[in-house]
Amino acid sequence: MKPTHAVTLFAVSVFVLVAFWFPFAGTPGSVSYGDDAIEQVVVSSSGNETPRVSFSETIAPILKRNCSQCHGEGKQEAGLRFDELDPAMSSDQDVSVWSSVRDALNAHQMPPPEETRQPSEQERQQIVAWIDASFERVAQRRRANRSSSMRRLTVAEYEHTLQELFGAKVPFATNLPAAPLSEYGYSRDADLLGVSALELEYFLAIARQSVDDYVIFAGHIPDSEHYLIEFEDVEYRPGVAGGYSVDEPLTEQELLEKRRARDVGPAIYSDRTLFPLPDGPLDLSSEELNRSDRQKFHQQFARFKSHQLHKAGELVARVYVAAKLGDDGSAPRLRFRIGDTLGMEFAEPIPGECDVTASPEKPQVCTFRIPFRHIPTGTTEDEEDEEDEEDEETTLTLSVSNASHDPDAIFDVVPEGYNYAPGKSGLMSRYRKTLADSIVSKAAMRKAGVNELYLDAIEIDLVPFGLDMHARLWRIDAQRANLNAGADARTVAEESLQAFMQRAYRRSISPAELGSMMSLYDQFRSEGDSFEDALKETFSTVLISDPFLYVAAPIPLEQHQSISEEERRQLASRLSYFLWSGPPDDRLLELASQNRLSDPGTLATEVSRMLGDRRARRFSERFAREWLRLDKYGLVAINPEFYPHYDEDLGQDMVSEAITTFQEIFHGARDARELIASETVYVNQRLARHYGLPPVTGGKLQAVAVPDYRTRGGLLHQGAILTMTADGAESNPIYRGVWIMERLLNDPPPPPPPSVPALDASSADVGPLTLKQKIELHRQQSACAACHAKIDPWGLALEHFDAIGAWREAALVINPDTAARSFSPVDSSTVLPSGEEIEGSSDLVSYLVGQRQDEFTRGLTWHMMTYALARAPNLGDESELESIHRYFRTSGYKLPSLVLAIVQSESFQAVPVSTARDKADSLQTKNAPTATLIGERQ
Amino acid sequence: MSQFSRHPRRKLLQLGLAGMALPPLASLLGASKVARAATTTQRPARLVTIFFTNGVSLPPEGHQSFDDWHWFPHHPGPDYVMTKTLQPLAALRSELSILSGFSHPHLRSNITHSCSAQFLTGDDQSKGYKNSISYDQVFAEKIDGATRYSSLALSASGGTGSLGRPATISVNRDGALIPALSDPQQIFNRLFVVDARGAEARARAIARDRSILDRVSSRLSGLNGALSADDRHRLDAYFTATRTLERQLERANEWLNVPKPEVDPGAFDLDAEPTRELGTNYVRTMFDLIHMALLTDSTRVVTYQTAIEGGSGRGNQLPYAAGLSLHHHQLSHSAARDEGGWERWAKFDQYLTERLSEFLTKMAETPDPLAEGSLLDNTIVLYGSGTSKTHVGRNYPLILAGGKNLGVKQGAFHRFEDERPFNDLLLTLLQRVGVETESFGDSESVVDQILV
Repeated sequence: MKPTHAVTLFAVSVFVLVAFWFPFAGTPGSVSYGDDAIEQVVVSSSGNETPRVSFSETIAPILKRNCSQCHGEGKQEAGLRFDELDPAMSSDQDVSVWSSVRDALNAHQMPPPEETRQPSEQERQQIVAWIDASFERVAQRRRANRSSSMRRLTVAEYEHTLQELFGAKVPFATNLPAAPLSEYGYSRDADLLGVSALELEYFLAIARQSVDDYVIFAGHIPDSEHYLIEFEDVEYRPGVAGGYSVDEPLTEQELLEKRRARDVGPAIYSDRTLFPLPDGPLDLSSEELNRSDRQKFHQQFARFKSHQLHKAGELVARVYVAAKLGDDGSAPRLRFRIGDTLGMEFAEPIPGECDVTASPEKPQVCTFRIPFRHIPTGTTEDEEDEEDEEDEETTLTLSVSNASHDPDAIFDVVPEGYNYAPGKSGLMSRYRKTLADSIVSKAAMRKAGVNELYLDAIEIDLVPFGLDMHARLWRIDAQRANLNAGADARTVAEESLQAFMQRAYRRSISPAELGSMMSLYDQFRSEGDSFEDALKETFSTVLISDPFLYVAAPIPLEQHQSISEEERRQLASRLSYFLWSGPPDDRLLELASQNRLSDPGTLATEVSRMLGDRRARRFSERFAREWLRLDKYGLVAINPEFYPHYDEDLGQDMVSEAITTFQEIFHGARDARELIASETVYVNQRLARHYGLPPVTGGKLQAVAVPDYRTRGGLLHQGAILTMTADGAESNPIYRGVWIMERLLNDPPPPPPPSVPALDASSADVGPLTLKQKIELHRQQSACAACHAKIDPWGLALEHFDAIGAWREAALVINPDTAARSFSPVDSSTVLPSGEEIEGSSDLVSYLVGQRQDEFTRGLTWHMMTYALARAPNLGDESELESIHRYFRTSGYKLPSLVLAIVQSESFQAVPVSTARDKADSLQTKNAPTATLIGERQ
Repeated sequence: MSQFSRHPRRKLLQLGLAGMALPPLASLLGASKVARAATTTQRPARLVTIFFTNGVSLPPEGHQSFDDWHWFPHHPGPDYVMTKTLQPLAALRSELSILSGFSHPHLRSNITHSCSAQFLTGDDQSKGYKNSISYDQVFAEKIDGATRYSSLALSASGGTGSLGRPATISVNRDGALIPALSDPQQIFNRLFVVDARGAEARARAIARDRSILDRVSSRLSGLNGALSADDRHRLDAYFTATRTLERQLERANEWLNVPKPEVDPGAFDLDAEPTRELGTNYVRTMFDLIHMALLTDSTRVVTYQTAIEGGSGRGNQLPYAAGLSLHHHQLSHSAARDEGGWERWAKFDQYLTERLSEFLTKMAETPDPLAEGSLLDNTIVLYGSGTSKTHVGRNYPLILAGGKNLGVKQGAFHRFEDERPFNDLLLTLLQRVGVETESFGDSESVVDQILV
């Protein structure tokens, strides 16, 4: 890998651009380098001193003579100004600029050849040598600073940490303000993850809430509530708030009796079966029909009353259902939602889904587990309102629906379930009228062979602390504390606090740390707090302190003796937050406390154990989301005038497809090149339909072989990627080109220069042109040409895919004023920057795996390293990047091998320079498979 | 407790302000507050910003609805003619201006359903979510401490929403979305209801929080030794946050001894929700609460987002409350396709304008207890959307009202032809409320046309 691999590529394009844009030198301007010019001692890699090259005496005058006309005070072509460049290269930004200077000089791109003023060859070499020497110096400085990589937990990591601390899969962090991503698209970025007062306020509120919920002082834990609702018993009562009868919890005895009754007879189904949503739009000819408040064929509601909802518990629902498969073999898909809002407006539904294939003779059970805290409450919580939680009563509404999507399904228009105000006359007559219509619709759907969902019954348990309560619930021995309220209470507090702090800080704690928190506890007691309140407040304090919120928060020197070296470096946390997006488990903590984790053999064993754990799926999902920039999916608004069939479900499926594909290849230890060219796609019933693939049954994504990987299969053919690189109406080859360059080739194009307006596809003067024509027009403008010649072809090759990733032969054009529709032909042939002529996406895929696999795998290495280190690799990491990539390649581009190589690197382990192993890194010199590698490093 | 008579809600509305006996100033503001206001020489400038979603109906020229139902008037100048959409504001002509041509340069691409979070910042999000302080918060920071709440963020959905569909338009200095309140009861409680636990308990709670913050920041003082520059920098950020929060608590503590203004909850429909049935009441209640928050000087900075962009969220049901039978996003997308679609959409624009008109009228009829003129004269109200038509991120429909005593000139339709940066307007308004700054975000110049 060349030095500053990523920035170099970037830089080259900047300079090519400059060459095209500004071929002529400007008028001379005065240049001054000021008084702060740097004298430097150049240190070679072997550590010997080489002769001083003075920047101010040697380099600056050459630059001034040859470059400052265009890059000086008067003119700043490409935004570059030499008299303001920092010769000390303090920041990564400086390094990247100097790197581009170096490459442009080396390649004789600069000064432009037609320019008369040129440095001598010796001068050229002098500058290049000075830059190289400076890079080496910067690299050493970076390596020396490596141990300082304290960083705050991301929102997801914070949530997972609380979840594992308390053993509850609850969305602790829902209310935290969302954090922006780094310029490379990553949430793990040490520089970006600060703490603001607002966040700190949230951290404290969340800490108090979770401690209150999950630290138990009472010996007694309340009983669960049980419900068994037969769907045939659910009554609709027009005019009653919420519409449906409300069930109350059953006693154990009643539950037993109801279960017994179910056991004897055959299953009795609700007289309504649920049909699927249509794939297409409704017939919109009637406004009446379009009122979305109608009860539709695919939904059924039931309501029940709970007294326990506001405790830290879990709702477990077992839904008994059966299916009538559609004539096309499609199965119904049960969607379960729950909320406490009135009627049908679920503020934020939390759906669970399940494919249903059982026959009505033998219904199947679908189980859903939802933490109480997940259940939307409809209104925002009022932290100041804590009265009478005990007696609070909540009516919950659950909705079951058939979320399978069938082209032959029809909507029904029965207004049952709509929460009409009482006393509205005319309701019942309309009800009867549309009911009659619905019978006709139902018959029509049956005739068309649409799948149906049969509803038998639902059993619900509200479990106060959830089914996993014994996993890690903090139970304080309050009884012992209360017996002897003085000394013993303090001992209990101290013991509990120590255990809690070790778990929260993810390392041993020093006596001083414990002492400090205990003094806070003492203060609270002296202020009149009870044992319980004082301890809860102290626990909450632990959860907003920096060793909890940060990985590798520094520890005062005098406390080092009670904390092992690996614990101080937080090796266990570095590993677990990388591979699990969460805290380390007992085993990792124990190894680190004994300084045994950094042993290469142990490390390899642990990495392989960690990748086998289900928590590793959090990593593969997060990395896939951020590497592919799937966050941008949510920023695209699909225009329903263009895509009436599109809905949020299809969008969800697309995003899942992208993530699942990465996960299957990652966890299956398959060749990373399959990410681009694959003969397998992961689709469900509706994605298969959307893509025009042979039918697939069910809503779960499943592996399907595609006959020709070049038309479907691989990231470039995935709906999510194609959709988020479009604008919701039309495809956008520029966005698509930029995405390919950034994410797959790791060669991000420079941003457009400030003076050049962005292409305005909606502007009236270019209105009648096809998008490809508009883009070509754009490319003809000289200021845009150089860059866009490198960007657009990548995207143009994907023109046969519309703005939601479906194949098309022609592009739909809608006049925004008249709504008139027309089609313009699409053309995906293009000439790649390398000069290769290609016909479309299939050629593009072949080209990428054939000619560009090195860039692709290096890019992937760089991206995963950026994720792992929580910062972009810098000059200090170059040699390691190179050896990691070599190891990755030798493994046959297996992604777990890439992970292992990264974890074994000194950059990742944050080995301080003083204790670093010799520079002759075995990873770099031996292309050995895992076992040998580990052996040799020992 | 109340000086208001307990009229049923609807009756009160009919009576309007004339029917509501205003309580004596002292009980509204608290005696010390009046003294404070009297000694300050500066005018109590206020800033209210209302964001509505999905743009407005703009039938193309030549369309039968063009003359009557185009949101923008057809000819600029002081003698412009309001289309039917804006007619509800006719009586307030001299109090407001219509503006066209503004947009945020970074937000002109078609990705616009996330635009509310950038509406008051103009930050670039072409590379993913990124944000900076919104203009209302710049003002709130400046007058922090002058009122009990430095600002009030409201929206129909509450919270922050998602990055793709934000539910607040206020953004703090770190670029984090400030959660909005949505429940009228909750808003009322925060503004006017004394904490049930009593001032003493509240003071204890504040002291407790400060002890906790003290403890976690004291850990850092022992770390001066071998810290790298990067780590020091990160710890400093954490340390700053603890101190900022402590300062906020201190501020809250100071206000504890100032009694909250006495306001009769019976004057508000606090059960209203942004649903089909109660939607109109909901919007009215939100505006009533804003009005009362300003009148009692509980805050001087308010933002209100009427709904979430796109087709989701509670506020989208409002067109049903207006008697239409499509939700807002559907209205906007079927305008060109359906016969009469532009007019149908414009009916909803008109409905929103009516609500605005009610609010402005009330503001104009209320004498400012702290300064010369009406409340409206000392309040700048900006009403607008981040798209002209749905999915088109330019030419924001904007109404600027009030602020006559703050040097804002009203009474005309100004058409800015060349895609003027919206931050120019935000900068101008910031200067009007007394923030001394020469730039805001990517602003280029002050909008002279609206200055006296």
